[in-house]
Formats: sequence, C-alpha cells, structure tokens
Amino acid sequence: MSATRAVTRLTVRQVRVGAIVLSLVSATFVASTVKAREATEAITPGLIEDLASNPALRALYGTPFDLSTPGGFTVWRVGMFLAGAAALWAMLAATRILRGEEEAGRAELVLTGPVTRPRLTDLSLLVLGATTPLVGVCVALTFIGTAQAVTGSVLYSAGLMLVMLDFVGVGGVASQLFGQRRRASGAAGLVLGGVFLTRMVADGSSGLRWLRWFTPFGWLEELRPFADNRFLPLLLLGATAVILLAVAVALSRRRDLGDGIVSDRDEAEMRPRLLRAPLSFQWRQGLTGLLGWGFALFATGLVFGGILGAFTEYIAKNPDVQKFMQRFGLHEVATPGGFVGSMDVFAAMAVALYVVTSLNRVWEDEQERRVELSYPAPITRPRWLGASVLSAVAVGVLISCGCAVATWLAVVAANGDLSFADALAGIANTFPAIAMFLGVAVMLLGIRPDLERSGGGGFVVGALAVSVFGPLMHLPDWVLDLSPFHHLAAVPAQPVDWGSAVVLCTLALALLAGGFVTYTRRDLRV
Amino acid sequence: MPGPAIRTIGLTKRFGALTALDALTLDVEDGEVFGFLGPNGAGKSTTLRLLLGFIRASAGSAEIKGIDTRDIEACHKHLAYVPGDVSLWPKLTGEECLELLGNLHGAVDRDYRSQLVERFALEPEKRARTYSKGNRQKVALIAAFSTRAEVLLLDEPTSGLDPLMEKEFRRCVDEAKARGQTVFLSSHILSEVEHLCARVGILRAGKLVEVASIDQLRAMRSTELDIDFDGPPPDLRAVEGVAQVESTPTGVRVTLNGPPGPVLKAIDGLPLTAVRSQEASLEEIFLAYYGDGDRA
Repeated sequence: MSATRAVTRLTVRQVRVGAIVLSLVSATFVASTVKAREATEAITPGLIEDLASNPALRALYGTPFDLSTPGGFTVWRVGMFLAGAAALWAMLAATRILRGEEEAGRAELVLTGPVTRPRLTDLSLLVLGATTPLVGVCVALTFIGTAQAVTGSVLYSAGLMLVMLDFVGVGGVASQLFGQRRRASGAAGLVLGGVFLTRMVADGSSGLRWLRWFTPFGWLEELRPFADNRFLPLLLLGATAVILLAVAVALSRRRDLGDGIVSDRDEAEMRPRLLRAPLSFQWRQGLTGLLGWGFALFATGLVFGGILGAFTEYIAKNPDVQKFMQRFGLHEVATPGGFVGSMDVFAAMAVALYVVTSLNRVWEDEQERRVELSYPAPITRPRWLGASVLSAVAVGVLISCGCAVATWLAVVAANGDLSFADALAGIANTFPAIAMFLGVAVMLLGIRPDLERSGGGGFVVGALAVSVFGPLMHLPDWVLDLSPFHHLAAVPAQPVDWGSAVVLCTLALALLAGGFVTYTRRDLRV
Repeated sequence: MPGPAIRTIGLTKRFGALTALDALTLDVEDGEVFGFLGPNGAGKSTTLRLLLGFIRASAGSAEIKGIDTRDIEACHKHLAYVPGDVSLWPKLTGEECLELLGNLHGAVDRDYRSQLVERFALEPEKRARTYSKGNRQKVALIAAFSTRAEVLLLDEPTSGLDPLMEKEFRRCVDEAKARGQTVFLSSHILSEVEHLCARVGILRAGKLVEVASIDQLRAMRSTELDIDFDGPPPDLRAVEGVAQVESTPTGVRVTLNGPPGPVLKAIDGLPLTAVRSQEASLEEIFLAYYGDGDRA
C-alpha cells in the first residue's frame, strides 16, 4: 500500500509543475479575454453571422455560436487554442511518464519494488488523468468568477478536461505501441496534429463540415457553451477517453518492459552511409524528424492554402467585420496576404519547436552518456555542436519551404491569388525569429542544458501566445516586445521589417556565439 | 623524444566545496600498463574525465604524449577511451556503432577489429538497444582496441563482462602492451590489476597516496608469520620489525613490517611446532590504504 503511495507521489511530482502552469495560463487567458470582450460595446447579430460565415476565421478559431456574451466570445476566441495546448501538454506528459521513464531505465528501479509494471501504468494514467480536472476546475472557476453563466462555464470546462483526457489516452496508447519516447511522442503528435487540422479543414470548408464530428475538437465546438449548451458531445468525448485508456491499459499487459507492441526488428543490415563524421551522423539522426515534421508542415501548408483559396474575396465586402476584427487583433488575418503572414507565424512556431527538440539531442547524448564514446574522438566540442546546429537549420529550412510550397499549391489549386515568391517570402520572413529561438536553445545548451527542451519550447509557445493573444489581452508593449514573433511584419501583405530582422539576427548570433563558448568551456555532465 | 605517455601536474578538480581530485602529480611511462586504484568516489573517473577534456581542471595541467589535454584535436588522436558504463545509439546496430566510432577516431585497424568482434563473440548485426550491459561494454572495448591508439584510457572496463570475456580483455591488454601501447587502467578489481599492471597508483579521497610497483607494495607492506608453540608463547612485541602480535589457539600471529630475521632469531631454540608465513594479499594491502572513515 505504501509502495503504491510512493509511486503515485513520484508521478505526481513529475507532472504537477506542468499541470499547475497550464491551469494558471489557461485561467489567465480566459479572464483577460472575458475582460477584453466586456470592455467593448454590443455586437450586432448580423456581424455574428458574418464572422460565422468567414471560412478563415472558422478554420482558425472554430465556428462561433454565441459572440454576444463575453463567455461565448471567449470560448470561440481562445477556447480552441487552449484545448489544443492542453491536449499537447497531456499527450507529451503521457509519453514522458509512460515511455520516457522506461526508456531512461528509471522505471526499472521503481519496478524492483512491489508495484508491478501494469499497475505502474494504471497508476501513471490515474495521476495523468487527475491533472485534467485541475485544469478544468481552474477554467470553470475563472469563467464563473467573471460572472459568466454557470452552465456554459461548466460545459466548456468539462469539454476541455475531456479533450485533455482523450490525449492522455492517445499518449498512453502510443507509449504502449512504441518502444522509444521520441517515436511515441511523434506518433501521438501526428494524431493530435491530424485531428486538429481535420477540424480546421471541416470548419473552413462548406462541403466537409461533417468531418468535425470525427474529432474531439469538433465535439468540443459542438457543446456550444453559452449558446445552445448541448451536453451530448460530452458523451462522445468521455467514451473516447474511456476506450483509449482501456486500450492503453490492455496493451500494457501484452508487452515486456522496455518493448513496444510495435517492435522493430532486433537485427538490421549494416547501413554504413552517414556514419562518417559528426555532420553526416547528425543528418542521419535527423532524417526521421525531417520526414515526420516535414509531412506535418506540408499538410499544414495545404490546409492553410485551401482555406485561403476559399475566402479571398470575403473580407473586402464586409467593412463591419473589418472594424470588429481590428478591435480584437484579427485584422491581419482577414486579407489573403495577411492570412498567409499570420499562418506563417504558426508554421514558424512548429519549425522553432522542431529546432528546439532536434537540438535537445545534444543534451540527450550527454545525459545518456553517449558522448563518453563519441567525444574522445579528435573532434572539438564546437564541431560537435556546430554539426547539430547545421543539421537542425538545414532541416528547419527544408520543412519551412515545404510548408510554403504546400500553401502555394493549395491556393493555386483553388484558383486563389498567391504568387510562389510571396508564399516563400512569407515563410522566409519568419527566419529571423526562428534564428532567435535557435540562439536561445544553443545558449541553454551552454549554460543550463537540462532546461533546453522545457525552456526553449516554453519560450516558443509563450512567444506565440503573447503575439497572437497579447494585443487582445491589452498586454503592455514591453511584454509584446519579448516575443520574437511580434517583430515580424505580416509578409507578404506588408513589406519585410528589415530593421527588426537585423536586430533579431544580431541577437541570435550573439546568443549562438555565447552558447558555443559556454558549451565548449563547461564541464560535461556525464 | 620519449617522454611520459601521461603526465599530470598538480591536477585538481573541485566541485563546489568538494575537492574530487587534489593536486594529482603523476607520470605514466610510455608503453606501461598502469593500474589506477581506489574505492568508489576516490576520484578515478574524475581523473579520466579531466584527461579527456570532459571537465575542466580547477588547477594544474595534464599532458598526453606531451600534448596539453586542452588541445582536444591533437591530443585525442593519440588516445582511446572505454567508460565503465557504456551507452550506445539504440537504433544503430553494433556494427554500425563500431563503424561510426572508427570513422570518428580516424584510424582503425579493420582486420584487428573483425578479429576482436569474433573473439568477444559480439553479434554485430543486432541493434544496440537489444544489447546487455556486457555487450555494450564489448562494443566500446572493440572500438577502443581497434583504434590502436597509443594511449588507452580504461575506466573499470570489465564491469558486466563474464569471466570468459574478462580473460579476452586481459589478452587484449597484453597484446596492446606488446605493441607498445600505454594502458591506463582504472579499476577496483584487484586481481585484474595484479594480473595486468606492473605499477599502480592508489587514490584515496582525491589524493594520490601511493605510486609503486606491485612488488614494492608487497615488500613495503606486512608479511604475517603464524608461529605455533608447544607451550606458552614468548612476548615478541618488542622485537624489531614486529608491527603486531595476536594470539591464536596454537600460538601467535606476528605481523611484520620489516625483515623477518630478528623474529626468527628471537624464537630460535624455543619449542616450536610449526612456522607458516604468508604474504599479505593485495586485498589486505589496499584495505590498509583505503582505510575506513576518511573517504570524504
């Protein structure tokens, strides 16, 4: 009994900080969006219909059902993003706890105690599941605390909680299927991305709207909090969670410690290519990432392009909508060029996350002590780090361009108006911001490598949140200025802001240089 | 100009308040197999990490083949390293790991490497994640020995190996010695060191407490004489060269710290039933050095 408690406590320790941060951030977003909406005068019913019929906005934020109350507006404006972020966190936490611990060999230590491996899986899922009501309750209390209708508040929060639980399930199943955390997270991430994009396509199109009934995010929308307040989709969300968690539990009984259900062969032909030098080896290590992230960004580009093609002329005809969107920091999204520019920020976030995760390999190799074998070679640390940076940059540029090409292809296929050069310019415009994140990641490898993933990734996601929602929340300028994304012009709608680009690149170079120096001089933590 | 293969001068590493290695000054001669002994936490691995440039010295310096160890590119051409707990790239096969490590180092004797793969009975087509600790250790050993580096730094390299493979390891060290390679063997397995090394250094709590050949150590340290008497034993405590006297059921056990002559003279003519002498085992020698309580 006490062993069970000890194991539970251990797992709680591993997720509590993330869960608390997520809860607080979600509550902050809800509170400030409600406040921002309360500060504006009433919105005419006609405007709601206009917004509801704008495919780009529908794709981004979901279909609005009630914009007349601050609660309903908030659910539309930030609800989907909160759900996406919460799902991402839940999924990554699940693979970290359920697969990462095992891969790192720490689970082995725990399992020498009286707790069996299936039991450990159950307990971990239980703890992970327990984080979801924490987020849900925080959000519900925030809504209610800002005097929003209780039914809608509870409904949305319950939906948010169940979406998270669904992705605890997805992460849980992926952790049973795959033997490595990277693969489990990758597979679960593809599911999450696919489901989110499906919801975007469904909401952004006219003929495929039924598709949203196949995604948890669509069910979340269909709850229609503060409007129709439908409870039925909660059943779908809940049933999915139950099924996924049951599958994870069942699969955990069908495998051995350290193995996945899908195991690759234990033997392989010798593939001597790309084993020659640090750079080629990093490239080899990054190939799977190139495929996975490349595919994801290409698909994202197609969706963005498809939506863009569908609404080229929409905004120009609706001055009311234009005014409304100006007030809520949406005006940039509403022109084709602006839409591309805004979407490219999302693509850039993904690329920056790729760069941060890819560079984390440097720390993983150190932490798992593979450097003890590779670093005795006559190769200096700057060369090792340089190889990782170069490989990350090369893959980053490739997947960025893939996204731009996909956007352009989709727009052209829909007879939309976007030149190839503009598509590329839009994505290339984000490179100074990505360089900045690269610099931060490398600097962290030099001074606090253990924080490279969480700190670097947190900076990327935080910066995106600040630049997307900051204006809406009336954050002070100095906070907005902290986000590298905030300094990007909406290319191709606006000309490139060369001044900012130069500043960002200079800062990035300084951080890079600092990172190389500190990484070369510091003690390896082996 | 044949200088020492490894030279450290006042090499010191502090981690905050803890001094992990305290002013180590040591020469390991070219072509020597040098044993580096000490209990866990004595600073053996710290020394190796300093030599490899993994961590930076707080004070002092080190050279390998006359090259400052801070010059990674030049210095590492001359060395190969086997850590005590090897981790590999889980997706690569054993063969691919060896290929990678060989390419990184630059100079590999491929024939010798295939030979070693056979001798260590490694299954090279298996992915590294399927390897046991012993098998991972084999990969690192094969990679290191096949570079033919002039200086081999081995940090408890046989942990996880079965006795058969341990024997193979000893053969490799002997071959390396025959080729004139220098071997720096950090270990706490005394039989291994006794077998392979002519000279050892003993580290305790970060300080080098002794450098001597194994024979010298033996001579320096005590020999025990069990002397059985027919009747009450004489008092031998005051005799020259006697460190300690304990009584046994049949007589006394005399621990010597000098030549045995005076004791033998002292018991001459007494009613002896038996005299047995035994040299202190290495174990006892080292236990005497390690002591208790003052590891920190």
